[in-house]
Amino acid sequence: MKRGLVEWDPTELSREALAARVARYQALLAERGLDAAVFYTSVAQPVAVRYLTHFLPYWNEGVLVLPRAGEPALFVALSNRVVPWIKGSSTLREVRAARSLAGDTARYLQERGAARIGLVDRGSFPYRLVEELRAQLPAGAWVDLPPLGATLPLGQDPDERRLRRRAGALAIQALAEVGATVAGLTDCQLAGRLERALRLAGAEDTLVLVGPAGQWPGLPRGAPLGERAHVILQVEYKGHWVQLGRTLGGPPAANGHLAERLRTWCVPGRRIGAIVDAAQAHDGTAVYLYRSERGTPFTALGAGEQLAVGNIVAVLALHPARRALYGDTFAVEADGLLALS
Amino acid sequence: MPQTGRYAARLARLRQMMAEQGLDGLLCFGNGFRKDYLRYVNPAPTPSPYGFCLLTPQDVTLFVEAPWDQLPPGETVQEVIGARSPAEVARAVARRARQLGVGPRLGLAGGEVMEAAFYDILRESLGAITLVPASKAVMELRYVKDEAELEAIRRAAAIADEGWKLFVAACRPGVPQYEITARCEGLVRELGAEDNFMLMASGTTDVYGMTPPSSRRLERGDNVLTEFTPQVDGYYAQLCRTLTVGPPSPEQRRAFELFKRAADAALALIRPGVTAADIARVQNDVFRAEGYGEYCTAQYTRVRGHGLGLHFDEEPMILEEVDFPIRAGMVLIAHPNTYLPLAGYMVFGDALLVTETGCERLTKTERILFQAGES
Repeated sequence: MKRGLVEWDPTELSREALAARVARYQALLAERGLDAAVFYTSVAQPVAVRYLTHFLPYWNEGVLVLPRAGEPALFVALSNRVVPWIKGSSTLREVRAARSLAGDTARYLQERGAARIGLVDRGSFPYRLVEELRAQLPAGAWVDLPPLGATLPLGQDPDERRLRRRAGALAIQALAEVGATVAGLTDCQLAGRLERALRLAGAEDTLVLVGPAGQWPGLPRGAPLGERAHVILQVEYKGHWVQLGRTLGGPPAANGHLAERLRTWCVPGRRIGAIVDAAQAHDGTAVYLYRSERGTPFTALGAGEQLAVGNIVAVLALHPARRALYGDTFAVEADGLLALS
Repeated sequence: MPQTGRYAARLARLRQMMAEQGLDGLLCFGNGFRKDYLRYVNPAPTPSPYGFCLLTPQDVTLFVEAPWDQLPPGETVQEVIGARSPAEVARAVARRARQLGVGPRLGLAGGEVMEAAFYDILRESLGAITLVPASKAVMELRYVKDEAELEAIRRAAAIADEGWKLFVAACRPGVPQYEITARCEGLVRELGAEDNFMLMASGTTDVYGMTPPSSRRLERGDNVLTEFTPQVDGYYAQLCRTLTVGPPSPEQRRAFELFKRAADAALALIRPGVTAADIARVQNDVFRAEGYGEYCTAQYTRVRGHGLGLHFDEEPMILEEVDFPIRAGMVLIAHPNTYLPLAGYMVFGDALLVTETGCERLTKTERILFQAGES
């Protein structure tokens, strides 16, 4: 959960850069003849609203109304007392603590005469909120719009690359600080050390999975670790996530082999199912791929999807027999994967 | 399949509820926002970003995203089904429900946070099976904690107490807020907490509430306040405390004395039969009697406490308009947290177990205004 340093530093990501993102989306609304777009945000689905406004709900949920022209407005299920913090950590100037997200949002849209409204990534909204919103406005008012990442090239501008690389650097630094020796530690102790190192370095959020070598790691339960363990680290820095998988306490060659093979299997344009099958057929390596620029921080890619140029993907690979786990976050470029950590 | 073990009574209660509500099955959902209903039926934690548990009169099936289906489920679960994408997982749920002949009324608990993408697939794929809201009925069972639940909450409370000790030690002039929480987060993880909901604030009359930690550096004279909320085996305990950096001012002492009186009044009142409204009122009355009634309103405060369990902000909310009778076996926190013009926002409260005759304090930290920063 978001208990790290959740701040907006305009020297890292300028107000102008964020305004340009909003303007770009507003131009798309104008092209489509829509009066406004409505986005959902929550502690689990923060990406789109964060991209546009830098707002991150540390818990609970909210709805962003982006009119075709003018400033966005946020309706949030948080106390009025938090509004100054929201304004200080985002570009938002219109923030309202909502008694009813759907009711307050609909009233705001009606007051401004919005007749055709885009519901962005409807599938990411809680279904009850969709039903409530639909009940508040005429049936023809709502137009489904695709996820923000399908409309704007999320993850690709230099600011995003830099911030994501920073997240990657935090993860690498934390792993270096805890060292490669895990024998004598419990999974909780290792997770605690990583968590402390990451948050001291400025991470906003992190998830640490730990487990014995040869198996997928899980949430720590106090189990002693042997000589060798697997770790998966998800790290967020200023809204930009990376996911790394590493084997600690073993010879580095095992991870190196997996890293090398991943680049061979993960060819741009290839279907995810084909990548998974190729790894499995090669030597029994299990591979999982995730998109990280839309919806939740990491959304699993299905077998029928493609590894497309421009995607930001996280890859995890486990070779049970070699007791090796490797994972990293990449930009998919025309000539292959570019590691972001 | 007959259930044995420490969750047998819980499953029996759920199945009895299903029978009473005319439900042919119960689908419990959880995601990154909330996993409490999922966790009630599958007590093991899962890193899967979402999950479903299908409880029928015969068995329990867990559905998660692969590869997390390869991790051991809770002992309540007979089968784990994994798939590689959210849509495939949702379709697997519907397929299984149809195979088992569940229907026509399938209860849905945790549906409040279910994404429309999941709901659409379920509705399309479930055929003649209708999803019936069931969160309230399950929550009714969750209010009173059983022994296994209380054991987890007691461990979480002990971790909160340890965390607070480190918090006090870490609060020195010049230290940024996020460094303090980072050290505390590391400690509670090492001690076995799965998660920890923790907000904080520092300052004086400029502070109106708590937020995630900032880069603000502590100053002598600050109030520093936090709520520690570690999670153990799915269950949260909470401890709210305030300290001053350096000796407290007369205003800080005076303000804290009111918070302590309000919290003490709640402690003295809580027993089975009183209502959430009573607990809120007895706290607010302390402030009203001193002319601070205005600071008991939503402009300055949120709630006078809340339930604790698989969610850190569980029902009932302790508010004067909530006419909810308190029962033995419930765990809650009573906290008069609010802003006062004397010294700004302060927090103070403990995790409490409602007993047959009163309440037991589960967090053991001294009930004082702490002082830090004098190394």
